[in-house]
Amino acid sequence: MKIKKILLLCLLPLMGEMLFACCNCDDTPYAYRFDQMFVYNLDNSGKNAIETSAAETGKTSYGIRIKFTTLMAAVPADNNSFFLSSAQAGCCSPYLPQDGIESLKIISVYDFNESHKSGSDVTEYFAAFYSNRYYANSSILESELFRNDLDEQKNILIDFLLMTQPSAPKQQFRVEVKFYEGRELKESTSLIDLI
Amino acid sequence: MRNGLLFLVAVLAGSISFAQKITIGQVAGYEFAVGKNGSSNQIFNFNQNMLFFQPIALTHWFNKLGIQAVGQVGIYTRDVKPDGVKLPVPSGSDVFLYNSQTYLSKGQEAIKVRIGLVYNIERNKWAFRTKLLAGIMKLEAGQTTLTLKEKNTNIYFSDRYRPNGSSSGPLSLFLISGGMNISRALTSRFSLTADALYSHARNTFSVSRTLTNLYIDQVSEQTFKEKVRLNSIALGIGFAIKVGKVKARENPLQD
Repeated sequence: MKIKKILLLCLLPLMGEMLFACCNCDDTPYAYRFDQMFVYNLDNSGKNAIETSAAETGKTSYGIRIKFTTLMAAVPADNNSFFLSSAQAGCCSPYLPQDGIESLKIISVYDFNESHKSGSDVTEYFAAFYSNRYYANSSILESELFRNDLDEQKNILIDFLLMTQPSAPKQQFRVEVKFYEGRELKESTSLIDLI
Repeated sequence: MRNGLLFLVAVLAGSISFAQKITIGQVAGYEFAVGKNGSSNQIFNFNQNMLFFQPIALTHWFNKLGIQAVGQVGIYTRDVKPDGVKLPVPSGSDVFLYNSQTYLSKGQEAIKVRIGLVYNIERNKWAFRTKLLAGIMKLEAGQTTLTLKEKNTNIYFSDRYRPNGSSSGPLSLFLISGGMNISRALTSRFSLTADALYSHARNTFSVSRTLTNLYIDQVSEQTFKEKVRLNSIALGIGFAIKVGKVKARENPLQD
């Protein structure tokens, strides 16, 4: 009987550690760095926007999908426990970019309209639709999209939808992203006819 | 709901004051939707499949005939997906639902309060009862908001529905029920029961719809009538306890 009591007393700290480990949340966020950028033409004529490699699509339902791949830069390391690693079962640490985006521009490779010739910044003609609301270019950079909305592969997807129709069907767009640290990423969509 | 509880308390108090023969029962079970069910569209969750619990059923007996008052709470067990929604005009065929994974409603409650007549036939330890009840069904049908996307465009809409105009409280439906109950006495006061009840509920109410173009913030309002006709069969088991004097000759165990 005494042995059972002694064993029970020995297990008490372990049980306490288990409880503590499950609820031990650290506010330190996961940090990631933007790695590569990919851009795709989008066909948004149906229920959900789909990437398309077709030579033409509707100009009223066209969009550009920007995909950022990321690299994990910092993971909360919290293992002060004597017995167990911190389980963080109830924790939800945010993902934060280590290198913030200073600007995101969409440049027309071909003439977009009379006032926006080849090489013009046409970002104002696009709007991102995220979480049931539209975002203009600058406001999507401030949104929660870059904080928590990483998919399982730790990618970030932004769909920029064309809200003003171009005057010429032949279109190609170049996406230019500049980071605060000075790094730049530039990628172009494939050529497409917007009809 | 408050009025329903007051009604039950009044019936209980009246029965205890003036009657010698009262039965208090509890039944729990499942209610199935049957026949042609539903409403003008499926914006609100009006399917009748629910788990129900009847915390109290009071019966005041006058020989073979009794007056019964019943309170019941139900919790819906099935959700409605937007894919099954038939949008009212003028949504148009060019606008369709955006996110098919979103559920419109889940786990809403319904409360029923009924009163009516019960006819009792007893054979040894068994009792067979038929009943006809009428009352009110309170149905939760809160505000529903969908996100719609216009076909072949990049335009999204917020589509909001509110029952009863601007308020979003529970809806009241007229309810009529008929069915039977079988009970088996275990002691002079305590018996086990099985219940089968067919119900029909109906009402017509107004729904206010607000369709907002999320890009240009253009709002259009619409009001339409929603007809609700619900048919269901409830099957449940429970127990009943006799309150008051139990005469020796009424004790089924002495037969």
